[in-house]
Amino acid sequence: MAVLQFALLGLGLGGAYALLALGLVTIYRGTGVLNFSQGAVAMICAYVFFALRDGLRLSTAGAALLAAAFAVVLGLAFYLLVMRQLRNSPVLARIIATLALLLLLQGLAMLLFDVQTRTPVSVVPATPVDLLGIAIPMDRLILAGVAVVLAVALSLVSRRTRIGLAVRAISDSEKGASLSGLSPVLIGALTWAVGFVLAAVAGVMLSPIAGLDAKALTLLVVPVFAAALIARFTSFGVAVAAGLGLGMVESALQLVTDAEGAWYTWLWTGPGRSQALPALVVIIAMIFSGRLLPARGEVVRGRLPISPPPRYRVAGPIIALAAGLAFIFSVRPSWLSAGVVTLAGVMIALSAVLVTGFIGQISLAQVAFAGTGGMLTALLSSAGLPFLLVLPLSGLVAALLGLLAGLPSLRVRGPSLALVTLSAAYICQVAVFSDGRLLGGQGYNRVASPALFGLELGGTGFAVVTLVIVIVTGSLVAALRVSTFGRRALAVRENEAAAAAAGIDIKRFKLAAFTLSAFVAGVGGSLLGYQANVFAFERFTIFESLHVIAMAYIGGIGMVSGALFAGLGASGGLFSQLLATWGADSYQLVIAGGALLLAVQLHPDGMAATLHTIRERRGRRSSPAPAAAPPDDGKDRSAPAEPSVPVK
Amino acid sequence: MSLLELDRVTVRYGGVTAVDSVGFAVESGTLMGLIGPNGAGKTTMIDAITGMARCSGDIRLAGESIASWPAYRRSRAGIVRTFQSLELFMELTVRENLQTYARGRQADPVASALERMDVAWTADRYPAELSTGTARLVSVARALAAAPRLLLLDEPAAGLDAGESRRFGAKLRRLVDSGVTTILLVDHDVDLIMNVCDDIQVLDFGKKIASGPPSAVRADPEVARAYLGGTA
Repeated sequence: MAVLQFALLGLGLGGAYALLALGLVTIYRGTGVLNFSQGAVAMICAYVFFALRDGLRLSTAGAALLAAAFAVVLGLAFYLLVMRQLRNSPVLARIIATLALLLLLQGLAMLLFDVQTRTPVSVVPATPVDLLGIAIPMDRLILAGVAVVLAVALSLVSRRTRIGLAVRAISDSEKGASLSGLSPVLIGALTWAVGFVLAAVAGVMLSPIAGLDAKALTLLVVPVFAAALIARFTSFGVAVAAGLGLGMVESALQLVTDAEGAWYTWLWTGPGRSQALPALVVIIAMIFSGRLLPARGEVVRGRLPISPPPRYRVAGPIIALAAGLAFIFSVRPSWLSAGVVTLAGVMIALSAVLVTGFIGQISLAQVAFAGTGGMLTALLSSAGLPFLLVLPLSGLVAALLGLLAGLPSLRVRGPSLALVTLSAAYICQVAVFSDGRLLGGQGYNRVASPALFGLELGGTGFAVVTLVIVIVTGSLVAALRVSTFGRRALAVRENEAAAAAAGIDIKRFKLAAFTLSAFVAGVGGSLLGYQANVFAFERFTIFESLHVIAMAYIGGIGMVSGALFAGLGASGGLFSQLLATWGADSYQLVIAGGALLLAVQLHPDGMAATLHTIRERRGRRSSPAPAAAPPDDGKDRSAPAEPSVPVK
Repeated sequence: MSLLELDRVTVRYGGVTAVDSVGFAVESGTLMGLIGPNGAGKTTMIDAITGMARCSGDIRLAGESIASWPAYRRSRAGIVRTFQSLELFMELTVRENLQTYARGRQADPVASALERMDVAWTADRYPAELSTGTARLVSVARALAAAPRLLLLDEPAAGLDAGESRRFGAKLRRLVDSGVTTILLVDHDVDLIMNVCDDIQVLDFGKKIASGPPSAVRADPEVARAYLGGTA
């Protein structure tokens, strides 16, 4: 009976999943975009609503109207100003844009609202009603009911109206639909606005049930993706059923996870197990059904961020070493530790350059690899192992996880892979890093002070060692780019068929890249642990993962210099420190999100790449113009349709 | 023993049979042509031989069955193809494109492959800077850099004018006659095929309808009918 009660209580959460999933499906059908910011939109709209209602004392109806208007404006603005411009951009750029919105909204919430988790008074009656002999608060039933009603409404609109027909036509072929006289812009704007309003409803109705929490609401996007995936991003009915089902199962699972038992029950008891379930559903669904996501009619095989051969392979490291040493021996301790965080950030970003920049596999799990390294570091260092041994061992264990995480990349690519890796990182965050039973200590574990040959390194010494490690790694990554490996990597990321024709074993290659990259990230996480003398789980959350990818993308994810930029922007790094001295550290997320949105538009290849291209052009101007024949006019398949064969 | 033997090779895409129980053999040191109207299954044939399309039936390279091998392994074993749409790596220079494929015993496979196709001057350019015709030659050179035992060319002469096509044919003939490689040539340019090939296979709707030396194929009434497009 208790199971049933918990399951029914999960109708509230499930209803929110269902509403958000409806929004995801609507947006995907209209514009083919996987909106990673769906949870963040629900979050910001909830904050807006409760600020209006509880802060400004507006009536519920008035606040609801304004919050809905806010969602519409946000949806229209984001579509028209950002996504519409990116419709022919590479997949990575479009994913990054929605991640940028996520970061920006997260940052705005922190800046504008009091983000202490609280439970606002419900907008609908929450009196218990009797259902199958179990008392269930009415607000949960209403939330689930709203989801069902809206799904029916959306289905009707989709099937019976001209606008619904247009959305279906567009998801087949954007060009075809515009030929029929319907504006894809109008359809796109409409679907984004509807999707955001659905998110707003979910956020406003769920907050009184689950709490108004900026991070938790933003992370709703993971289970919501699970529901949308089960619906194959097409069926509204299935999306709602899956959302409700996931919410109920997740709620019922709490009964199991609260129980204590034999050691092997560790796997399913403990913190975050019920939350991890939907993420597990995403991963398994993706791996077993391969391309669950139907490909859209318009195939964009756009450019990838450029990855030119590194220019200053000798001078670069030398300058970095000199500048780094000068910095280390001249600054105050607070700046020194920010410097080391930056170096560790460079390391983690280098891992992203390897796997995303070179091989084109969009991984949002790099910080989870780092966290694994950090955890191992806490374990091994407190067992008395020396620094120089702990570092590679941490990397190796992270590499094992990387190998595992690389497996899905053999079957899914692009946004689907981003989703799988995000889910894996989510599981690490909610169920591994914060599980105190693993190391004892509720997600915080001391890391012994680093010592080299029995000598304690101290802050300065550790900084120097870290500097050397990062510079060596950076140089190796640069060398890798111009090696056979690098050429093959670029071949694989650009054209898997031609790469296979060249005799490249793509599967092994991808796995190797994931493993190597996770090793680098793991060492980065280990360094981060030594820097803080503690493994703290909140340094390895999904938000950190997104932040690293964001910064690396702005800097230029195909280049070592892009990783340098990412390190400077890492949270707690030098840029944070600079903001902190100005008393502006709360602006960091907003700046990151905003800069990312701008960067995606203005420098789709990253800033480092833009600088590189400018230098390139200058260099070219002095050399004679290419004597090549006129450029290829695209696909020339105008072969004689009917060859002149001997007829008769 | 033939270099390549195809035994009842069949490729199905969903309900469509793109290649229907086709069998033929390519002898080492020859130039085999494969022609047929649009949709005859020529490219699918190349996909099947190179492991890029799932097929039933058997494929043997020098007597060894390779039907279960993945694409990269067939490439390493010496079956190397070009693509109709070239598929050059746009982010790599021509030299790097060839280096990605390079394999074999020659001292400098990249330089010699570029020279064989007379495109050595393109080495440091990016594919986007080349004309269509030049890019086609580069894509053949890239495949040659892998030192193939069997080179599969998918419409390499598309878009070339009559003169270019003739010169291209002469290059292919030279490759085979000097023992560099064996070639299976798919093209729409029937004049090219008739002029340079030792033997020709003709496909229509996935089935083999004729085969033999050019003179025999030219005279075959089945072939004429297929190209007329009717059942007359």
